Amino acid sequence: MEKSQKNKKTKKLFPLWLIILLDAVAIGITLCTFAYFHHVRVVDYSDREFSKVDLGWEDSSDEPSDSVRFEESDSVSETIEASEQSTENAESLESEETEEQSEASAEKGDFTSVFENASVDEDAYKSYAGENVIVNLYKIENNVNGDMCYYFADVYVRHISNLKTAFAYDTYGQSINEETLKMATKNSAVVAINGDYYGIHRRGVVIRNGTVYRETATDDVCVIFSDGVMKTYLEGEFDIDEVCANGAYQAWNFGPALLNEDGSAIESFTGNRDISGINPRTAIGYFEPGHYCFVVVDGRQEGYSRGATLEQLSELLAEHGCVSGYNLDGGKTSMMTFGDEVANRPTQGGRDVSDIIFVAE
Amino acid sequence: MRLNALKISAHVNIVLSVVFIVFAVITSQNTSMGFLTDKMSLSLLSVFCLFALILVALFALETADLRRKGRLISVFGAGEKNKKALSTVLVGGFLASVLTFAFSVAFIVLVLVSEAIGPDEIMNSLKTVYSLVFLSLTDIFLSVIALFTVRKIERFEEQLLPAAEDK
Repeated sequence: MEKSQKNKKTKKLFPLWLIILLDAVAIGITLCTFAYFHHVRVVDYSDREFSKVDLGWEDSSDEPSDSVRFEESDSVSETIEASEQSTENAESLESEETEEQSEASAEKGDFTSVFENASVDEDAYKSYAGENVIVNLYKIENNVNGDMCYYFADVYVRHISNLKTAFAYDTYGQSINEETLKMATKNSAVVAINGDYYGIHRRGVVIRNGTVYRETATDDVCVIFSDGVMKTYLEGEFDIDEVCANGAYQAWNFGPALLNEDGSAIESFTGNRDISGINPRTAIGYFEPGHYCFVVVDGRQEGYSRGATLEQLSELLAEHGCVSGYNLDGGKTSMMTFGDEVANRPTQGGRDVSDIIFVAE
Repeated sequence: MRLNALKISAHVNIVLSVVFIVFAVITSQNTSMGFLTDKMSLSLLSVFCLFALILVALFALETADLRRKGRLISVFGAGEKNKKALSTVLVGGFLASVLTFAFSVAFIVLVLVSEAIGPDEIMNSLKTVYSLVFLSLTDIFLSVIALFTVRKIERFEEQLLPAAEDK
């Protein structure tokens, strides 16, 4: 009894500053622990089973890709010849098919008719023409809206399966990141851009190459269907069952959608976004089935390119004649590769990302 | 024992309140980060609400106990300044307790409902974000009052001990 009273007597109260300091430390530790589990820890979901969408054609993405040929703008003649030759071969093969068969194949994402009308542009910054892919890459320095330099890849694919996506280390999971260029070269990409950085978010629709990984929309969603049509959906309008039934081939959840339904530019983007300022941007645009564009706007580099607002990006896509457009992850993530090199000048060298969009033979 | 529980609970509440104010600010800027919608956040929010309810209960028990024993004025002292402090603690503590209790229960229900129907629309709305900030602020206020009361009680008991020893 005496001892306990003595203990009580000697008990000293902590000074206030020490209590506040200890609380601040506890807050810091809690936030860091949460951030580790929420953002940093790598989680591999590849052992899970995911549902496949019936695309109406067989996905041959596992097959080894052909060698790719890239040309600078001053030496495209050989490439054009190769393209014409391959087109002739394709024509002769196709003539053997019946009309009904060709109609059926067109429904399954075959855009040969569109592809045959595409050609390499000699004025392009860089270009590529192969059997199944034609890309004209333009570097556009637009000083009207301030310093802005962007890269516009005009992409034609013979079949929708030539437009693909890839995960970092070919693994679906959380916080699994890899260099965009490494992913692109590993997949023999002709041209590639970063995706929506799905791996940093816990939620949001993820459909890649016909496999449904995540179903819940958290923002505007962009879907490319197996027939080549690209559509954007507002969060409330998105119905996973409907898009899967219609053959969703790729879906990204970042946004916002950049064009109105009639293809006109959106004048003002509202909402509680922290991305509405002038930033480096990545976007995907759609003209018609088989004809798409990849856009990367460099930014945060005074004297070269400051970036673009969402309104400017929307206007840019509308000016190029896109009927649908979608904003992907930007900022330091924004990167475009062409062949085995980085085409643009990413902010601070860019960052590792969880996914890419690319075209390949 | 109860005083220690009240102290620990108050500190936990301060920490979690600040954490959720940070989450609310981030969510108001960028909802896609999922700081209020993923399972981990919702679980932590439930824990936060439970600790808030525990704090409310312990604070109510402690003040009721002091009243019952007629020690409220003794603990806070008899001067005019101390009387003001006491009334602030009693009125402020009561209001903060009621608000914290109501908002904690509401958020527990919200977590349960949002898990059933999908948390994005509910948890990412600005109303929810502002309500969470309000809950966190009232909880911090209650925690500070609780800690202040505990400190007064401890000081009072410190003063009592030598007197008891002298007797």
